[in-house]
Amino acid sequence: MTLLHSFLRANRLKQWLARPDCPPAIKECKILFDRLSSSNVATTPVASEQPLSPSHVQYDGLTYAQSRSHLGNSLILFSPDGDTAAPLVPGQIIHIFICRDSTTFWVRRYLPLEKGITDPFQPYVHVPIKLCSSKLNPTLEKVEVNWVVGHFALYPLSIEQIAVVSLSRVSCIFISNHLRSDNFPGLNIIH
Amino acid sequence: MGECFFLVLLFTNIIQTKPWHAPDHSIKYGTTAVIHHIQHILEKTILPSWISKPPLKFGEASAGSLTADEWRTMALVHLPVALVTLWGEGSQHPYSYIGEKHRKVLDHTMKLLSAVRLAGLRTVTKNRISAYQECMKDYVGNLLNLHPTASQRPNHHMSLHIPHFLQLFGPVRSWWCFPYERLIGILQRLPTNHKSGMFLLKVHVSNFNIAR
Repeated sequence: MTLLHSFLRANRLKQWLARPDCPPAIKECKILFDRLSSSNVATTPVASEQPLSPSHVQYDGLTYAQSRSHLGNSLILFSPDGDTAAPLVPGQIIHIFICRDSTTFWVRRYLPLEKGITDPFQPYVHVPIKLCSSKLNPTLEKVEVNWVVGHFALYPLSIEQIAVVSLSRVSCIFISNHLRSDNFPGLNIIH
Repeated sequence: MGECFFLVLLFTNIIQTKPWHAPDHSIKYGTTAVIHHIQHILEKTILPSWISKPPLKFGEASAGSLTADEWRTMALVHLPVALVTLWGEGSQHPYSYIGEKHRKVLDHTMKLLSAVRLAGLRTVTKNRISAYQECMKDYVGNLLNLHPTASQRPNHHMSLHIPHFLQLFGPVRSWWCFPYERLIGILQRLPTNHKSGMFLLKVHVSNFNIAR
């Protein structure tokens, strides 16, 4: 039982040091603690002058992957150009690049529905599901990792249409008619 | 605690092993075709790795009972997609009155699914609390009109107290029962030969894993 208590105490100490509200003075001790601790696992990619292109990367507790590695982990909802007021866009991560601690995704966004097609999910404003085209934009666009709101689930409704289900558990995404744009039918966050 | 209420509500009102009956006892909602459609959605939906996927044989005895987390995934992802594609705008029905009836049941069920979504978010605002309250009142208020054979349960009553708890304690994540659900799952999976001894150590380690 002594061994067990030591194990529990050491892990609780590690957990406390990792918390964001840990006092800065104690955090200074973490550097020494990490050196003493044998399990020194790097949680962030090693800074490098040469860009890395990993198959997957972890950010803010979530795993993002290239579509060829894991399609489910490559489906993201993001704010275009980092504009949080703009409607969210669903896309698929094609490439991941890490350079000097900054992570960027190269993404192809899903095209909007063709005009004249009714979205059956539109009346249910509190359920963040949206119909859009199954076709991907051929142009790759650069997306910073902090522009990403979260993953989405994809259900292929037909060959031409998919249902996009937001999995964000922080934002409540509402869909409203007047926010629809020609670029993409509106997925808009209301906090 | 909050989400557990909803999961029980879902269980009692949406996925019943016996089909529902309309007031005139002519329209069935929980048919085999509906279950097959939900299973198809479960199979074809692409999810990230952090979501727990419910069993593909959902609705059949071989699938076993779903965990609370799997019910949550069903309520937030699979059921809305399945029900809207079956009964929503653009769906085909042999008679118009059947379509209208299905649409009413869909709108009613979507109120519950909206409430589950709103209450489970990690940030709470006054607007979200009032939206939840509105959805839940509509759902509970119209339950017996649409499903006369259903009965009011204590959970229906308790779900209407959740807005008060949200105001007092904040997001349900900080006071829900999922840590206990996890503990129950770990205890159920513990191998045992029905002999006493060494059990305490295992439980301590399990508790530590939950605390992390």
